[in-house]
Amino acid sequence: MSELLTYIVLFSLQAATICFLFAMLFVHASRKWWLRAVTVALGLASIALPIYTVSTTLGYPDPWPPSGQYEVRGWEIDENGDAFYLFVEKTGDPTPRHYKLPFDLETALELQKAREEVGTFEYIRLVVDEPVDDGPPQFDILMKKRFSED
Amino acid sequence: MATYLALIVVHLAGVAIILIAIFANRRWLKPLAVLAGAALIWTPLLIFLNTLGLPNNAPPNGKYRMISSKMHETDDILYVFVNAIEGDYTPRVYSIPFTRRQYDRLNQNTDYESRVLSIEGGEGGNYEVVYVDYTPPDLTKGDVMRGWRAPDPER
Repeated sequence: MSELLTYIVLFSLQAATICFLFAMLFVHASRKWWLRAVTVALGLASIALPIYTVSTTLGYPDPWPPSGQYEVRGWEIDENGDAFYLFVEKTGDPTPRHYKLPFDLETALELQKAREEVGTFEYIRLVVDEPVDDGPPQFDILMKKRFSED
Repeated sequence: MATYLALIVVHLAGVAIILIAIFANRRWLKPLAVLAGAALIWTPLLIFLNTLGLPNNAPPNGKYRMISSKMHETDDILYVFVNAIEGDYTPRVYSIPFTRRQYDRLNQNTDYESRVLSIEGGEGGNYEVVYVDYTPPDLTKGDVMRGWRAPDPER
């Protein structure tokens, strides 16, 4: 939550610097040296702020995973936060992604069981479908064991 | 990442147009600067949305509970899925420059039950990553718990 607040503050600062530059466009007093200095400083700040913001938010989960099929490389179940955090890879894309999905008890139990038998699965796959009516992402976790239980 | 870099370039260009319009004081540049400014309000949000979920290549120094990892041998990058022992314990994904040899050496040292990693940044973008012996806070003795979760013995 504190990270979200940090992001909101940084985004507001960014918007404020742009508003200041907007104002300077129409304030015809750019010959005052201190106003020039402030304008340049805020111009540089408006460049640095988004880069800094991204450096603080990179690595955090994306709650809007694009639809597709992913190989699950790790997961964390957060029952209190009503969420699954999934570390996934997409075929053909070497960079793994981190997604946050809504919690449901059935999937949590399946993942818990899979954790106890880790290494026995041929694959654990995340399938994400388009959300219905702007709702939460629709997803399913498919698991296949290397050897059947018979 | 290409989209991120493209958006950063767009952002830089937008700021440059506005600054030139302010200092050059050319009337015809002002509408262009207004358009650039309108776009600049949104570019940070687009940058944020395009990078969310991607690994962070600058992990802060500290101790992390390892959840999972993936070694990418062709690029010599170790991706770690961890949560911080202290502070905000939302899991995060970091990418660390790492060779296969370092990875094998790291895995020889996994006899600690807690599976807690220490990540320390060094010179030239190198990181020292080792498992450390970590004793979780003893709540019965009044220690404070911040983000610590019991390790899974199966992992």
